[in-house]
Amino acid sequence: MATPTGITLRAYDVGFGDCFLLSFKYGESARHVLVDFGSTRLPTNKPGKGPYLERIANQIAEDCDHKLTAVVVTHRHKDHMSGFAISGDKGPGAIIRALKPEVVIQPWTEDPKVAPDANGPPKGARGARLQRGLYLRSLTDMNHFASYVRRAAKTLRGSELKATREQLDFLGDDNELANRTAVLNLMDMGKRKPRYLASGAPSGLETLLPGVKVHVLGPPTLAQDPRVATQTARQADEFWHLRASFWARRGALARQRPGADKPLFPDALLKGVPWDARWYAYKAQRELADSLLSIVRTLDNAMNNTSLVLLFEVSKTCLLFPGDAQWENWRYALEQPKYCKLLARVNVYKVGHHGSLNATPKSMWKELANRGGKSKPDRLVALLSTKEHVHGSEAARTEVPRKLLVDALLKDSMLLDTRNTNDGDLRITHEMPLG
Amino acid sequence: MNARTTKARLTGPSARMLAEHDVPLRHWTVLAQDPRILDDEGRALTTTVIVPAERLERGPKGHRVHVVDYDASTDRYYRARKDNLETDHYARIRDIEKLARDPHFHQQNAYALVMSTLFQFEKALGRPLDWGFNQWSHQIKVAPHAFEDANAYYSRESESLNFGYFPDDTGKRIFTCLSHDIVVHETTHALLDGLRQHYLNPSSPDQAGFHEGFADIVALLSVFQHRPIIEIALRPLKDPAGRIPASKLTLEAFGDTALAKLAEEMGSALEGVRGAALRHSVAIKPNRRLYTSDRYAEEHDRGELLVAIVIRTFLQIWLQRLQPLLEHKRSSLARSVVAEEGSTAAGQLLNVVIRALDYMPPVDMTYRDFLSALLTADTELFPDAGKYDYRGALREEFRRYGIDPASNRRVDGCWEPPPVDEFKLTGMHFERLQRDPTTVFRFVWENRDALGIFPDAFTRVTSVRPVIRVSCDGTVLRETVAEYVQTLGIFSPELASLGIRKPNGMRRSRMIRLYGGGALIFSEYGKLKYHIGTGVRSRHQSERLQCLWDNGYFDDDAPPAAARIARMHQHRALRPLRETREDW
Repeated sequence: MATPTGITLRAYDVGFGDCFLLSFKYGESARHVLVDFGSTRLPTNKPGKGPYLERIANQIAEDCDHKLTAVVVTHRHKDHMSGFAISGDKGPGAIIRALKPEVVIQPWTEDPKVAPDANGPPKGARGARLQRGLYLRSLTDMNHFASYVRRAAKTLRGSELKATREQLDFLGDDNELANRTAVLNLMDMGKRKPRYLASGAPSGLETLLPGVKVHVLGPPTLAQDPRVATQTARQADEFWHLRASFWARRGALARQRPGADKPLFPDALLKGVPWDARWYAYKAQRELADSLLSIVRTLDNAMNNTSLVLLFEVSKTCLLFPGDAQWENWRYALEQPKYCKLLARVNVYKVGHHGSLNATPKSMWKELANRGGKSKPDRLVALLSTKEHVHGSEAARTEVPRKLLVDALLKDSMLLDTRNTNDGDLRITHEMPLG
Repeated sequence: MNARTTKARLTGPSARMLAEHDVPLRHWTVLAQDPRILDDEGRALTTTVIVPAERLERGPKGHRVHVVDYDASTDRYYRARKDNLETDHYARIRDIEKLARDPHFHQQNAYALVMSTLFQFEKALGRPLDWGFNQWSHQIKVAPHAFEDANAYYSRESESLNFGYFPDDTGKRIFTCLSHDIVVHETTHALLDGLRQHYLNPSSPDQAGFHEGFADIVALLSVFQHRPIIEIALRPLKDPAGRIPASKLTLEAFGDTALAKLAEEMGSALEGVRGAALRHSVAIKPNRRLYTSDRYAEEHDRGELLVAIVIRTFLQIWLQRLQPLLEHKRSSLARSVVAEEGSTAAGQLLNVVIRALDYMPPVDMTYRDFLSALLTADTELFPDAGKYDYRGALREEFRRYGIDPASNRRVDGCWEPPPVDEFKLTGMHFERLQRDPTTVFRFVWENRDALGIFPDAFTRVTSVRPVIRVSCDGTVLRETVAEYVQTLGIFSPELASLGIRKPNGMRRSRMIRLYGGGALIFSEYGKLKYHIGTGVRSRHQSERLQCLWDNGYFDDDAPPAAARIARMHQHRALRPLRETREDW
């Protein structure tokens, strides 16, 4: 059982979301790692009955022979974790729970031990403790604000704001923490204590997956990458204060008491529209929509950057699972020569953030030396899990998946795309013999 | 006031005629700062601002400002006052709760502060000002309850100033339209955009920092020119008799105690909405290296650096004004006297700062240009530096932070006059040169060599304005201020032919837009007094392009000008990294 003899990769078609099963074969037996399970927009035209995510969960159970070795949740976005939701003893999360994973792995930002910090840093905290507390509280405020954005989007009128409304609803939906049950389920799902990892930390899978080295490339901790225009500890504290205060204001909007949506001045409420205000009102709603979108995009990026970036090394084969990490997360790893060496050996790349324009940094892509045309030996395999016309727009060149990136993936890798899953199938499978 | 009593006695058209001509100005009650800063008895701290008397419609809606009480977040309109529109109904109300819950007071507060800021600019510059909207429009829309968010911004596209509201930590609503400094800050963005439209374009860190820094400077000096707020600021310095002892008349006591305390009181609820300019301006101590240090390279930090310099100058001048009033080293001054001198210093320095705008290049400014502009503008109107030497104080404070005048050929740091003999006035007509852009363009074209204009660039004259300024010492300054702007679109490989360095990594097919331009100041005899500008081939273009490239401004998703102020305020808190060239 010392070294795996092969790997089976499965990419489940969850629409706009991620769900992968890595099966490391040890002769006749195998050990299975589930990387993410969530969706914000399910695939359409799938035959079959029953709640779709439960069907996927049952398929996972079958594929892993009813036993998971580990569950990895790269970050707290709905499209990566909604499949862990549980309702009583039902729901897709219950099915996964029954697979009794040995351990659940998440990024350091999810560690409940730092949870007191999530409500704000302890009084008198300074330096690293204060900054971490403020950062974590901001993430919570971002979740709250995301739900506010969904409500606020509903007051935007007019057909020309339809696309913006949909984007706000989509990003709000993905970022709000509507389903606490998934978070709670993950906390005690594993037999062992859950692991919360940062760049360079031991993965905790060493003994569970013999012959597999799991490198944690990201996310960096604030101490590892304090690059936020700060030179002294005091400045850094101030920077995090300012940033936390920005999100706290937005979080507070979401947490207002019921009735806060009543008119500001009920006695002065005007029925009808003053004629000389129409033009302004039309413009003002557009600007409000743009402003909400810009804030919710910022928080979406921040959440993506908490992603775990894992690299599985099995003898000469390397598999890279970066969640939705963007440049700010990647930048730290790309500055470490040891990680760049590993990237040069990557054989399987899970395409970041469903193929969006900014989660496959070009300098990272260049490091992947196994890129190349069809004749290239050991050509890179790219795994893309996505659904089009859900996020971004072609006109703004922000469509997901980004066409330029997909073209590059088609040219320089063997692309396994969940959009190509047969209608009757729930997944695509790729076998990789080793040694 | 006279106008009201006169109106009461007379009726019909004659009453209106008399009222308009009798009192051309009108006083409005506004909050001296915001609802959290109360007077010694815990009542609302109000003051009055002076604006031109005008006939108002519901809103209030006057000839330059139209208050539209529309809330985009809830899609609701709030009613404006129906009658007695030209009467100040709040002159005697000091109950802060009453003011805070009265939408008509919110509307009046916003109208009066925007209008008085405009009036202050027009007085200082000696001419009417236009807003910077894309369509020619005279009335700016002001929304006192524009949306539910902790923000306030100027938008060129919707021709408006927008003030948000949001809950504080206890759930109580904060209205940004009730904060004196925030209203003036946003109005200043709008006025600066009208005067220097290209200052919202990405350029050097100085230019990026200037919009925010300048708006903060005008906002703070504008608040300080009202005596009540200065008296409040002086509270921590008073002795048991309520007077300010001589020992407290120091830069440290005024800055580190009085203003720092005021910043703290103004601070917490609106943290993140306004910048921390006042707090930081007291904390940033002079150091010749600061201007070039990495610490102040980021645009918001750079803006705060400018605020620190001007606020310290204000404190120095204020202290100078107090010295002659002291009988001896152990005497003290009444708080009202100290406050009066402070408010005078703030008001006068505010005028100096605003006047400098006419002497600034229309594109790609630096803080060194600003200093030369300050010195030139003040020298023109006050040839004699006077008892308190505002120019000397400004120059010294800028120097202490490492900023020297851009013009170094003159000892006084003012702009150097152009060689008059090299300029032709062929075909010029003096009257037209004062107001007609086409005539000024002919001047520019005929003198393109002397002005250093690149003929292949697209050149246009953007404004021509006659100016009359009168100083308190009787000097009459009669000038014509005109601006031209040049743009040149070229592909990145063509930069080398202009002697401009292409940033490393920029693709060859990239279209670059180079900007140039100048301010032309003509004397009252039609002679060119100053040409302040920079060409599209300037040696600074390489640095500017590199700076833009390093900051990711060549991204195709850079926000449109309209959204820049809103985004700028957001970025003030978030300081996002602008390294997105890794995108697909």
